[in-house]
Amino acid sequence: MGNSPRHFQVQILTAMALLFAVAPSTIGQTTQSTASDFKVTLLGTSTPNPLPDRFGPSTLVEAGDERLLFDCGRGSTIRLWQLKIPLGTIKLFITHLHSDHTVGIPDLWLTGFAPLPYGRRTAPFAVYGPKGTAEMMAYLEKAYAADIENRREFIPNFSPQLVAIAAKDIEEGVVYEQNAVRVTAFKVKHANLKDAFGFRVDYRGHAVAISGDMMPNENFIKYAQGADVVIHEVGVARPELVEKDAGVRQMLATHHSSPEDAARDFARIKPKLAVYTHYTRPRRDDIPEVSVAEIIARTRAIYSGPLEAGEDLMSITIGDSVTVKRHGE
Amino acid sequence: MNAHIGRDIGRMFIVLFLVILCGRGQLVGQTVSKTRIVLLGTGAPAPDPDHSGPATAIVVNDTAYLADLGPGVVRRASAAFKHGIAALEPTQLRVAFITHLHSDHTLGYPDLIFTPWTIGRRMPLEVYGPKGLKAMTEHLEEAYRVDIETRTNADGNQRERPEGHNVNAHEISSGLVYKDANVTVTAFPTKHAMESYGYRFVTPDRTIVLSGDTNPAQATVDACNGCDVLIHEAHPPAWIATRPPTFQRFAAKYHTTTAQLAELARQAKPRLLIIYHYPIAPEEILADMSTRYAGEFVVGRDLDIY
Repeated sequence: MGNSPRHFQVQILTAMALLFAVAPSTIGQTTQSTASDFKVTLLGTSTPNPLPDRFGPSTLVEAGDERLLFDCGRGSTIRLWQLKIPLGTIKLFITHLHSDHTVGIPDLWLTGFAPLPYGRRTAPFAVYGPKGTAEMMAYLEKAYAADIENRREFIPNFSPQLVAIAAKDIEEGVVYEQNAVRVTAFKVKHANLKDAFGFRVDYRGHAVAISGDMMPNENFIKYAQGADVVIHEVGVARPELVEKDAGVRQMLATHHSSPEDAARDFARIKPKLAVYTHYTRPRRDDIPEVSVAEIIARTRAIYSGPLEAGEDLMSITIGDSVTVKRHGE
Repeated sequence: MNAHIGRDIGRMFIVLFLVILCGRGQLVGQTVSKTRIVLLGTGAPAPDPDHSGPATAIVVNDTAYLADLGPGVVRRASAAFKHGIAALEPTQLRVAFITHLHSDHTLGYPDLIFTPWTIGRRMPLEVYGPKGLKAMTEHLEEAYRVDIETRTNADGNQRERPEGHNVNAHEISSGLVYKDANVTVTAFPTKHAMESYGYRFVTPDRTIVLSGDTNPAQATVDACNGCDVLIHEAHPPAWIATRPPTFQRFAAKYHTTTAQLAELARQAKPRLLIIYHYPIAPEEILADMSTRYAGEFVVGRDLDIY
């Protein structure tokens, strides 16, 4: 692999050219105005609702060499591989144990161990989540035992490490710290769950706060304070549906944040960018859902700072400034 | 020269026939009394946005019968529902058949159990498959226990439909496994790396045979035997040759090459062969198979309707 002097010269020239052209980030992608290797990508912006263009809840945070996934809804493996990120390089953090945030886990785990470009796991699958997470992962191991036993038989030099799971139940506080990345879990209020978390990821003087699913609560404000970017859930229905349907009324009041709730959060936190995800939008045959444009308009009535309506594969690079790229841009 | 023209005309007829067939598939999609096949996943384990893991729906009247539960099964069913197949509304999914317990055929199982329930299914699922299915099902229910408990307790949002996450798992052997007013389903043994079955669906207007993962099997030929549609896996020899020797040995014992499938189809004589669960671009497998098989065949793509 030794470089010839000429080859080396070319590399230096190339590097200089790149420096002048666009600042390269360590993950091989360029952004328009920042040289940051701290990036958030929305992999799935839906809820249990299986929409073709919005996959189940899942948010990727890349910071240096760390690839941290927050929740693992339906389809997150497809989104990861659309980004050419091998599934086996992911560490998973779970906000809460509702199934829409976890039904993609078996796929990430078992498709991720394939010794193929999209898999490539070499260490036990790291999973951090609320009380019950380790038990969930233990049962998933049992559920897929027949598959694993069978592959053991047919994959030569099959290492138990490939399918091993390192799951940990977490409490509020710092739950992960490595390679200049710190992940802090904080309690939020969501439905009747005893344990529901949001997460804050700090990296080299910058931070992103991820709400998880939550109704308005002060702890979120406390932990999200100072974050460059806030990724926030939202839940809303048309007034006539809220009026007619007690179930919807109760669900929205105790599970989620309205656009107005979120707007108030943004106004207090004052992030460089606020981004919506996890759009809970109940509807009935005779009462349509609230549109994303309406959610933005209702937010705007209270909050005038930087705001994006998140969509699948939108990426947000966080450096001295914050830049947003939609899929395909 | 004449032979060339004859062949060209023959090809034109085949194309014309396929166009008509395709058109018929679309038309059938608009009536309610005929059987439709909706391909929900035609891919291999790779997380490919265009080719989800193996999953197929046989739709008869207002009911969908699923075969295999690749990771995209609920997402693709939902997309098919939005394209007008009412039976594939996720909350309506309630019967599934699993060919074998390899993960690429079952990773969508938790999604099928829990998502339709969360958005409104009231009835338990009925799932049929090889030995081990019951244990798998019980362990999945345990894995998602926190979700179940918090959604069904006094203030849970699914408390009025607590049955909807339940599954009646049926461990099967070869022979008749299911019968209702729409369909009779028989299982036949296939040749894969573990206990595995293909399924034969007999509906009022069609007989459809699905291979699952398998080496060429006489049982598949016998199950089809002039059937309307044979849905079969295939791996091109040229692609297999690029794989590591271990996979080559595995494939030689447990998968079907396009060459083998052509030979099998000549014996089974389906009116239409649908190739699915293929590991390369559909154009490539179409080109490969076109040189081997003169009968009617298509390379299935996700959300195709036949």
